[in-house]
Amino acid sequence: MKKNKPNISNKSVACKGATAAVAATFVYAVIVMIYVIIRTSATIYRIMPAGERSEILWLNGFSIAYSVAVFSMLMAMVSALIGAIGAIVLWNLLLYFNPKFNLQKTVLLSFAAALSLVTVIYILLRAMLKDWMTVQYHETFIFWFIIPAVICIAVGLIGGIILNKALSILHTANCITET
Amino acid sequence: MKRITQFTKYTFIFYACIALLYWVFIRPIHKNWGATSEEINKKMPGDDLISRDRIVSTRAITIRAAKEKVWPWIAQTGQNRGGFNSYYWLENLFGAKMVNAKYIHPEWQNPTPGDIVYYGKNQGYERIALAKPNEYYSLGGWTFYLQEMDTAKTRFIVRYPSMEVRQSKWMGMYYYGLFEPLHFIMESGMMMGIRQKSER
Repeated sequence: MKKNKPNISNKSVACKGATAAVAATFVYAVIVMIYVIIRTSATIYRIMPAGERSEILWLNGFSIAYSVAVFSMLMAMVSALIGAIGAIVLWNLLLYFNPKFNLQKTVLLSFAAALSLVTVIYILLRAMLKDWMTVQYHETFIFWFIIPAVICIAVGLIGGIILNKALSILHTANCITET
Repeated sequence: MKRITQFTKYTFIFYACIALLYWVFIRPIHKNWGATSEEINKKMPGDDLISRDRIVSTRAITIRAAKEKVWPWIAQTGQNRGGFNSYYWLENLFGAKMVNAKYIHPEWQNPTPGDIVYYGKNQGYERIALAKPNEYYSLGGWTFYLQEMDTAKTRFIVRYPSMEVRQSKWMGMYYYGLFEPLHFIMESGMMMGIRQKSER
């Protein structure tokens, strides 16, 4: 196993994991931004008469976009850290449990790692936010639970496949060098 | 990986553009949305409750209804009463457990100074500082003022004092970065919601 260990530093893997996690946070933020802008704009459109509508639509839309942008920048810092740790964990899992770079095994390991990460995050959030984090309402359930979980698992799977590909390429390169 | 890095970079640029547009064009307008300069400078009942360290916004909307028809919706403001008439689903995303009343509830029609008004379930609250039926209502300086334009038209003016942002850098960052735009979204939503219900 040690012989096949590729020449990629943990730092590089962590950086890639952090970048992927930040990108995932931005994807989530853009989804939230679009949803909130569309839904509030629909309400404004229904209430305000034509002459008074455009100004408040612009003000409302930009205020939502700005606050979501600020919030997601703050969240990006936290998710970069989680992404970096997650990537290192996944990298080592693939190294030790999938030495033959089997794709199915990669998907399974990545899914398990992402699911564990989501569970840990939920437990921590639940402990910190208590009643604030509720599944009582439709939107709360979708935005606090479903979408983040889907994004986290998708990032885990894609990240795992990319890491596995990198491992397999490096392994082949190592074999060629050795021969 | 290249695409992911590119996406992150472009989103960052997009955010920077939004922030710039917000600060240059949006914030100066939303701070006093709908209010005339006379209304902005007008002395209002809750003004004595506002300290100098606060940033004050004044917003106004015209409602095609007599002020006696607007007042009942203001009187029952609060999470523990008839809601805030704003985007309840947005408030509930943060666990406020808000329900906006569809009707006027007689049991909430006599707000009295000292009564507690909750912003969300088990969240922050404020005591009613001033309340004069059909005239004004104030929650610690956040004042709702009704001005009669004619028998069927009312000017609904809302003055909001920020938290004491000038005292602390962190408080300022939180206020300008998140609280102020979010408060505008919810407050304007509330004003439009009250307008819609009063005009029914």
